Amino acid sequence: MSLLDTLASAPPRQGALAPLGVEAAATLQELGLPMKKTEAWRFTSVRELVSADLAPAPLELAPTAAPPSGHDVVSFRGGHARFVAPGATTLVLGRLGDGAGSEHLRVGAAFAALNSALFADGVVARVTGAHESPLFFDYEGIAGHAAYPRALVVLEANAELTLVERFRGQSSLTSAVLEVVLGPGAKLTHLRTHEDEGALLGAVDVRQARDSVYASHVFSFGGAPARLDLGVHLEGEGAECRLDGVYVAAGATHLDHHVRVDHRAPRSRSAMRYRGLARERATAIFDGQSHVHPGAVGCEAHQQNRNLLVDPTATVHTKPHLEIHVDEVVASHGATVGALDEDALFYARSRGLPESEARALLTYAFLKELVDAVDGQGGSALRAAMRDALLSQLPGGEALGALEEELS
Amino acid sequence: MLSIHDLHVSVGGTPILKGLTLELPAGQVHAVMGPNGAGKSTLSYALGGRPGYEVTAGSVTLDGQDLLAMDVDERAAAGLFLGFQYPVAIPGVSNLHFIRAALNAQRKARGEAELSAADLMRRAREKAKLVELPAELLKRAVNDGFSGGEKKRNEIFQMAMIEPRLAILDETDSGLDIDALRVVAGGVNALRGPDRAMLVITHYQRLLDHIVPDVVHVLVDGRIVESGDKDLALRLEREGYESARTEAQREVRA
Ligand SMILES: Nc1ncnc2c1ncn2[C@@H]1O[C@H](COP(=O)(O)OP(=O)(O)O)[C@@H](O)[C@H]1O
Ligand SMILES: [Mg+2]
Repeated sequence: MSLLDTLASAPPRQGALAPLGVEAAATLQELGLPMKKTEAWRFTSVRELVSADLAPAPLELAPTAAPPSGHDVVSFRGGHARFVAPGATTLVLGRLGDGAGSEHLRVGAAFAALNSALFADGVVARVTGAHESPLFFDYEGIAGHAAYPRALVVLEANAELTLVERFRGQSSLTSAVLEVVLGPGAKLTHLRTHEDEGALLGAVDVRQARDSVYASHVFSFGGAPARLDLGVHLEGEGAECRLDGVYVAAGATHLDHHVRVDHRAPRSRSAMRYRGLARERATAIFDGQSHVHPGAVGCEAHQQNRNLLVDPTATVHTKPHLEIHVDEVVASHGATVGALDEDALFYARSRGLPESEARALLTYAFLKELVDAVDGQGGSALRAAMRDALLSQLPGGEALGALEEELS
Repeated sequence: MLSIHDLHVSVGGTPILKGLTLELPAGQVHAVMGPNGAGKSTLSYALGGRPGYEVTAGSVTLDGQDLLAMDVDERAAAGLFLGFQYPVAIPGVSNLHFIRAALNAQRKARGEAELSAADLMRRAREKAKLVELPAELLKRAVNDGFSGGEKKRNEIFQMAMIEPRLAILDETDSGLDIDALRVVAGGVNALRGPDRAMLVITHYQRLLDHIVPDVVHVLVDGRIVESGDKDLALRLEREGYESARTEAQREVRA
């Protein structure tokens, strides 16, 4: 079904979510879905995706088994969520359809708007106080179906949470939207891994009140394409975000990261660090935007994107961009695309490492610096998991992992 | 052990070494001295097999094997160790991880078993003590944020871990204060032995007060222009490299 037919045949939404659906459908009817001539989608073709069947996967595809107990897990399948009530009082899970938190929902642009128009129900997580263990959102993509998972995470004042999102499977099309609202002094550590080998289009929208901290760690290893639009709004004074990303693109993989920070409050701070590599015939894209709006004095905004281009058949596009409308700002940006450092390569080889092993070690080291930066609740277990996930993507990764074992 | 015969090396098409001949027997320590730009680092890189250092003529053998025919890592497995004038930082790889990777690779190439984690740790602690390398530097990324002295001590630490047959130390003394120099020299001296040879490259005589060489070679403009015992280093210190150069020219004319 085409876009307009799909919108027309979607069952009308009831209750608190109804206005969002109406507004989203109107947006899409007016603007349609982005094509290659849209600047933001210049390097990522969605023509095939848009011409496929966009109808949401039926409810029968929802997870059949309850998520494992002992952890706070929300399982998404075909866009439909299943979870059990958390044990601790610091976390409440609910359905968006029940109305809780619907005032926070935004239509969004492009595929996020498609999600807003078509998601059947979504999940809302509300955190009060420091929640001790990570909250997992597991998304399973299904071939032959489009899925529109939707989630809202709200941290009350001074609340703390580690959120781990994992995308796996073989989606025909998954358009996932996550919205995050951080109250004053709240702190969210957010890990997100893209290992879905299908088409994954994700939007993450974060709104931060004063003195809140958002630490994002994105690990993109799969997707054809996997596109992330991460937008952070620093709305309260002293709000801070650290946005790290690691990507490994190989084979037919196409990884596109669009990251944008809007500084709208004084003394807010942002730092983007994206690093990745592209080999074989894969493509990696980084588009970073930092906007410091009038009145946001005393801000700090940093961007860094470093790429290893391993094979001449691989492609990297990088576009860091700062836009600053006030005087007192500390800002920096930089991007590199290149090969491994020849000095380091010779140094390692001179110690006895064959060239392929030396390359593997240096490549791993380059990316692992951002794995080491992961903290939050359960940080060491998460670092170990991310390290293993990264190693599984690299040639010679197993041997590299063994080297690190048992040394202390 | 090491035989260099009439070695010619070009960098970027420019001849730098122009017929260098040197014989280093097992059990000996030789010093190579010479002015800046003489080709000392070029010699060590050419022996190590660094890309871009093109051997245009001559031969080098290590224990009778053709060193120049080997890949960089094969040279290491054959027993060659290069101590770098400017050790390279590798953020993201811990020192221990790095030396373990190096040792395992060398052992594998020689058909030996890997070192167990326990043996590796024991040896690392012992060798770190030898060069007074603080234990926490073992866990830090290789040379990342290390001071000049720490980097040089780390080179000697790695050498001590690897126990090479032939060590070439390129200006290990540069940038060291007198205490650090003593520590580094102590580490080098501890490794002297009948089965090992060392080529100590230096710009200054003072290192040779601590590492007393069997032979001193003077390298000027890509050639060894004079060789002698340790007193030669003292004379060079007094009279400068000009005297060696002119003496060599006199010899050529005679
Ligand atoms: N990578 C290089 N590219 C170009 N010239 C080089 C390079 N390495 C060395 N040289 C030149 O070769 C000569 C010898 O350098 P080097 O071996 O570093 O001398 P030393 O170590 O004795 O000071 C110098 O003239 C130097 O400029
Ligand atoms: Mg030099």
